[in-house]
Amino acid sequence: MKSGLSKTTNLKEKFGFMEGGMEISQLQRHFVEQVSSMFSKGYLDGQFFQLQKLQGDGGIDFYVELVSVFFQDSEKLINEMGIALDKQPVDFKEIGANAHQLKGSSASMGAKRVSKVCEAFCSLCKEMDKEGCLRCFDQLKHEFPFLKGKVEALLRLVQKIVASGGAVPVVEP
Amino acid sequence: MGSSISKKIKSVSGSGTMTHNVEGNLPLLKGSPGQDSDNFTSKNKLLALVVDDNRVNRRILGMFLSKLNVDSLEAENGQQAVDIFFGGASFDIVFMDREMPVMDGLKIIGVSANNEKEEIAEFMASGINEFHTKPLGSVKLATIIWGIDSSSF
Repeated sequence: MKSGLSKTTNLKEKFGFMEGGMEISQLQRHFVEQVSSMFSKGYLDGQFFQLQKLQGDGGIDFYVELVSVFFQDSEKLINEMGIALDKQPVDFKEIGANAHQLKGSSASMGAKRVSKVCEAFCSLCKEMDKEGCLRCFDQLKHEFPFLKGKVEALLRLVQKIVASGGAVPVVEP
Repeated sequence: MGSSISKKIKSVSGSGTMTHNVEGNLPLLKGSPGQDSDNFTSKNKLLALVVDDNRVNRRILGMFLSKLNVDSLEAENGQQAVDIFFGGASFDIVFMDREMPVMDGLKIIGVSANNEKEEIAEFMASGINEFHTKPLGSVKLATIIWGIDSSSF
């Protein structure tokens, strides 16, 4: 009995490991495909690669927290920009300051497209171009949730890979 | 318009030397880690002050510094930086965003008794905002302070 139980346990462990192993490689492949696609479409840039390397140094918890802070702060800024754009007269200085903030943090996160939109937004605020600002704001309202969805999906993959005992691949741009 | 921490002023206190990187690439100095920065850590445990109103930027820079064996403290604006600086901590490096609420990045005034053109140009290129020759008498100092006070820096 003792021997049989031991055998069963060993087999479970063995099959469990094999299933886990297969799952890890699939998750890792999926992660690489997703990140590569985001690089090639210009959503992410080399800064994201640098942050990935930090994750490799045991900073996954740090990265998860960082992403959460980034989304939280960015949503607040975008919301404030929307309110400021509705004001009469439009407070271009306030909107420009928010766009500048978002440009900086998105560039630090490697969120290339969002950062580029914010860069254009800053210029339009300087020119006090309301129509241009509204167009830019619409673009931002499209780009940001898209980025958020994609990064959150990547984080879910990261968490699954880590939970399965695998290493998160570092993908070069 | 200053753009977050990318326009940074690195000030090495004590020696009084400073470097300024306006856009991107620093010149590759002899013996510097260059592209091999992944394997580089500071030999000495350094302490940096990171001043930026953007907490995402502060955290990322702090994490990168930590990897390089550099501890860091954070300040959200120039006023906090001044308070921390004069609170007794001894910093080796200050990374400061130029454009912040409450108080923007600090203005760095370079002073030297040497007024040779080439040397002044080299000093200016290192990232100082203004250069003045010594001695700094009360008139010159008052002019400098007036300039800072009345500028939109």
